[in-house]
Amino acid sequence: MGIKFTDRILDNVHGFIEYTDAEKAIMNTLLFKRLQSIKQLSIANWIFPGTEHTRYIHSLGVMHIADRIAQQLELSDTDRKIIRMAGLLHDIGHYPLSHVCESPYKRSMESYKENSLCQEINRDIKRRIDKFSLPITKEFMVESIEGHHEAVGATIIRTDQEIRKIITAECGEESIDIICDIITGNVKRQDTNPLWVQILHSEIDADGIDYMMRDATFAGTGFGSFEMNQLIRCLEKREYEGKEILCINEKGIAAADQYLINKFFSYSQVVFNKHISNLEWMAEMIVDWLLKQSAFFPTKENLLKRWINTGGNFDNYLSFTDNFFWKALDEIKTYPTKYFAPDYIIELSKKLLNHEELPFVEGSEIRIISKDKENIKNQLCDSTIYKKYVNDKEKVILCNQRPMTKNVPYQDFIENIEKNIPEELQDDKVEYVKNKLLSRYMEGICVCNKSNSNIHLLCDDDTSLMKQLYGIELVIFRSFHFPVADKAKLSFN
Amino acid sequence: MANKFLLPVYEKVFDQQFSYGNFEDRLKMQKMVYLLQEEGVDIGHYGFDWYKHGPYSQALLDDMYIESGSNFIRLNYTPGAEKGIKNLKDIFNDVEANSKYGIKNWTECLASIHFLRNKEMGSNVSKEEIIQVLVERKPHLDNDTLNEKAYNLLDSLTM
Repeated sequence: MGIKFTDRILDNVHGFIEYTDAEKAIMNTLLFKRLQSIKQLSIANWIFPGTEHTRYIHSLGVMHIADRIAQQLELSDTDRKIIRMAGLLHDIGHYPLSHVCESPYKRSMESYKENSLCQEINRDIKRRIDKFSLPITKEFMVESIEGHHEAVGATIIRTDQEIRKIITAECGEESIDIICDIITGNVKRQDTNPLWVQILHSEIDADGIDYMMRDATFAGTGFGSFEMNQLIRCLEKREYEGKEILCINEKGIAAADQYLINKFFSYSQVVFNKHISNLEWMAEMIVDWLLKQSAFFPTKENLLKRWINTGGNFDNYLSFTDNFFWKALDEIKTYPTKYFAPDYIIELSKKLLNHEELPFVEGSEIRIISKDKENIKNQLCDSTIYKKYVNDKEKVILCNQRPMTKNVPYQDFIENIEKNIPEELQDDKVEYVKNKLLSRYMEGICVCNKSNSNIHLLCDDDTSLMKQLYGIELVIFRSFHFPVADKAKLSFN
Repeated sequence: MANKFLLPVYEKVFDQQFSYGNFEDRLKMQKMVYLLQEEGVDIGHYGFDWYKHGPYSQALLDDMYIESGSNFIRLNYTPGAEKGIKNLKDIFNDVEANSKYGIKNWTECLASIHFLRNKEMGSNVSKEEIIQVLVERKPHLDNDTLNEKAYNLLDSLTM
């Protein structure tokens, strides 16, 4: 019978995106319209002026791509409606400036001391490098935890009566939990088909497909674009241990390789751009400080309890957009004594309001791409930046890191798992290994072929570049002048 | 990765130092981190699956191993983290539960009920059904009054 679309919107990336009456009703809620005031790439538009796109159009794009995948997999109209709704709503809990304001909410455990700020930040970087090459067990399909924008979104969907009512009328009441599971990446609930979760939460999902294409299009760069139509056309489903797994057939291997390689480039060339990293870090420092002082920005507890989980009054939350951040900066600049802001916060606020960055320490950038973690660690430890600035009081070290793919070949994975099974899991050994393999297949890119029901990961396929490139890691190290303690030097010149 | 918060937070919650060689300590650490994460305290981002003793993360166990024997770090907790840790500590220290279940079983009971309720079963499943599943899977947690108490206390833990 098909889904009855009643209207459409023109999108620069995908052309016309059609939607139903129920989806239109969601788009008309103020909670959804709020996403029009949150830029997808925070302040990247200062460096790549075209990146003015918002979480609003990205959400429509994810709904569109999720549905294309669902149709490719020949899912029923009922299932498609649920998946479309999850795609549309997946970012409804996003923070102002996207991940910039989210990061401080995720590290609200400890406060840095103002007089040793640089040293404490650099000490954490040092700790990270010192333990860089230690072997760890990789976890897959990890669900978003409390405070993550996806978990915030799930709370909004469960709490807001208007959104609940629209979803219930369109997809049934039981779909509320399922949509929340798809958004947060929960594959443990019996009623939720893990295949639906994978469409929005795996290495090759609708979210990634849309943001890669969108960011590349708006930034005006080729880094990030890929053969999207070929990739989607080659998606299939298979079963492993009774669960449905999203796979790519053999014809789609090159497109999947291209997708992962260009995702890597999109981080190395756009997201980790020197200026963007610098500006976003400055913004994060301000939010971090405000949050820990309970000034202007709500604490995590207040955000969750009083702004969202309120039984339907979202007045405060509706203004929690990019403008909220800029207003906070203006407040600090105009009324510095009101918030007892330290000099460095006032200075950072003024700088951002003036579109200025922290001065880069010339020659301090190190960029390493390697498979050998011990080698990466040694290169970092031997570097001038590490030796010279790790204890510096006036320079801060920023570190960006990104793997080509999270997955490793079967043999390496299984050997590591079996070697490290702890005593408390010996009775559960078979179940444990089975679960680990299952979640690895759910999150990774699986390859299937026509002749049998076997599946394997891209990094185990002889015809995939990932067989050579798995394990590659990009690490970027940079230093910036940040004299927080000395008022006389606060002009950062 | 490594996680500098594990040892100091464990000591703050249980008033004793963590010993990696002790199974009970490892179990208590697993349940503590699981519940703090769910409460919204930023102690890490681990993926927990259900095994014999309830929610369990292998990556967390790796981090316990990496951190065991590290120099003790004094942390400058934010008020939110301080409050979240205290909330959990108060629940773990429930006198009646500790005297009947003991701290190991009590932490296991709390984390397991939370996992069943929030991860595995739907939001419309009743308290009774969840406790019934708990007892089926864990016959040693057979005190209905304490199981119900655990269920109710978990509500106060949610941010």
